[in-house]
Amino acid sequence: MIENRIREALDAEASRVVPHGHARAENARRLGRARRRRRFGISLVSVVAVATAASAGALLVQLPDGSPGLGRGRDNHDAARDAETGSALARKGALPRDLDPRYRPTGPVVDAGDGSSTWLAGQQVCWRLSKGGGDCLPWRLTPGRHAAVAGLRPHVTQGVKVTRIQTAAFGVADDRVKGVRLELASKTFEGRAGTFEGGRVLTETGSRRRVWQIPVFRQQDQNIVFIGDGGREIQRISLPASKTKTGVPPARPLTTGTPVFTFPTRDGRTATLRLHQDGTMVGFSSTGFGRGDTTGPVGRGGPNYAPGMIDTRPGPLWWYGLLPPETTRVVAEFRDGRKLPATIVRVGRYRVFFVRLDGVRPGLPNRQNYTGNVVQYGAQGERLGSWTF
Amino acid sequence: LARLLGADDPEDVTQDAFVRLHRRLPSLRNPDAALPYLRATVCNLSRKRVRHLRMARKRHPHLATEHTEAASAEAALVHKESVRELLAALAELPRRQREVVVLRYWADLSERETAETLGIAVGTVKSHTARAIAALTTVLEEKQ
Repeated sequence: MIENRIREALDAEASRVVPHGHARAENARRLGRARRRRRFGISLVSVVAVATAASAGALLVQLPDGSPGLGRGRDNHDAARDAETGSALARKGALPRDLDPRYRPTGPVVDAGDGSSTWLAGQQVCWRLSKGGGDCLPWRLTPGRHAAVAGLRPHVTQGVKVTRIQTAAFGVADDRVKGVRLELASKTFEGRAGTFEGGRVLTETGSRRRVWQIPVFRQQDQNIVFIGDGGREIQRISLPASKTKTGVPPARPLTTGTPVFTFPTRDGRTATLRLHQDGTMVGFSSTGFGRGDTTGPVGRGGPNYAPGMIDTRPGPLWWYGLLPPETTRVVAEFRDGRKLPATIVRVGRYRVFFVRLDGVRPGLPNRQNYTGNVVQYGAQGERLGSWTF
Repeated sequence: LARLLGADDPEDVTQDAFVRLHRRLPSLRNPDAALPYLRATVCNLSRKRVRHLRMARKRHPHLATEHTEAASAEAALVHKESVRELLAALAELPRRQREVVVLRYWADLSERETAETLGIAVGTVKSHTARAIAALTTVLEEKQ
C-alpha cells in the first residue's frame, strides 16, 4: 500500500525536526514589539484628536510607552517585563537579528556592566560584546549544588586613563545565591591577598536560574565563594591556577551565518563554509556553528582580509577569504601557466572569493613543490597580493 | 508540517504562525477554530517561504546547490533508501498535491478538513490526492 509508505516516509521526515525548546523569549519579544506598535498607533490617534479639539496651540506629545492614561495596565507591564528587558537591549545591539537559534535567550538579556550583555540560552550561558562577538558555553548544575562555573571571558574595566581587559569567570547559580566574592589562596606577585568583592549576580531576583560573574586573577590559585541569605557562605568553587593559565577563549560571531560554498570532507560527508557577521566581527566557519570550527579569519573592529584555506586531501584544496574594497578579481595562477579565476559572491556588506584547486598540495614559496599562487588584482590590473599554494 | 511542506526554516514558520494566531485570538468566535487557523497559517507561510526560496535559488545558483547537497548528505545518513526515494518523489509533486498528501496522510485530516485548511473544494482535494498517489506510484515503480 503506497499510502502506508507515504505515512512512514512523512513520519520519518517529521521525526527529524527537533523543535527548539527555548523559543519563548523570542516569541515574547515579537509579541511585545507588536503590542508597542499597536499602542503607538492608538496614542498617535489620541494626540491628533486632542490637538484638533484644543483651541489654543498647546502641543501635546504622547509617547507610546509610559503613558498611564492610555490603558497600560500593571498586569500587562509585568507580563511583558521579561520580554521587554530582552528587546530593550536587543534594540541597542545586545543581540544580532540573525542570532544563531541555539543561542536564543530563554530569559532576560542583562547588561553585564562592561559593555557586554549576558543571557541564558537553555543549558548554555552566553555573553556578547556590544560591538559584536561573544561566546556561549554549556553549564550544568549538579543536584545539591547552588552554582556552577561555565568558563572564562574577557572583562573590560574602564579606568581614568586606561582600558584594561581582565579575565572574568562566569556561570549559573540558583535563586539562593545572593552574592559572589573571590578569595585568593596565596599572595599575588603584587603582594595582594585576601577577599575581593567584585562579583555580581546579574539576573534579577525571581529568576530560578541566574547568571553571575566575577573578575579573577590570571595564574593564581583562588576560590569563588557564593553567598546566600544573611551573608552566609553556601558554596565554594576552587579555580586552580592551571585553569586560568591558558587565557580566555576569543570571542566569535554568534550569528547563523550565510552559506558560501559546500565541499566534501575527508570522511565523505559534506560541509559548508559560512560567513558570519556579528556587529563589527566577521568570520568564517566551516562545519556549522559550534566552538572550534571557526576557520578564520576573524576580525575585531573590522574585517580581516587574510585568506583561509581548506585542505580536503586527497580531495581538492579550497582558498577563500574576504575581498578588500580595492580588489576586483582573484585568480589562481599555476606554475605551468594555467589560470583559474576565483568565484566572487557578495554576502551583505562583504565580497567573498573562493576557488577550488584540484590535484594540488599546499606548498611553500621558494620550494620545489609549490604549484602556483592565488593572486589578487585591482581595477587597473595591478597585482595587490598573492599567496602560494 | 512546515518542514514537510518544503520550508527550510520550519521553526520560524511555526513561530510566525503562533504569533499570528495570538494576534487573531480576540476575533476568533469559536475557540475550536484556533487549530484549523494555525494549520492554514502554517500552510500559507510555508508556501510563501517555498516561493521565496525558488526565487532566491534562481538568482543565486551556488546557494541552491549548497542547500540541496547539504540536505541530501544529512538525509542519506538518517533515512533508508525507500523513504528517501519517496520523499524525493514527494518533493517533485506540484505544490498543491504535496500539501494535500501531507495533510491527508501525515496530519490525518479528512477530505473536508483538508479542503478547509487549504481553502479549496472537497472535490479538488479528492482529485489532487488521486493525482498525487498516481504520480508517486509511477515514480516508485520506475525506480524499482
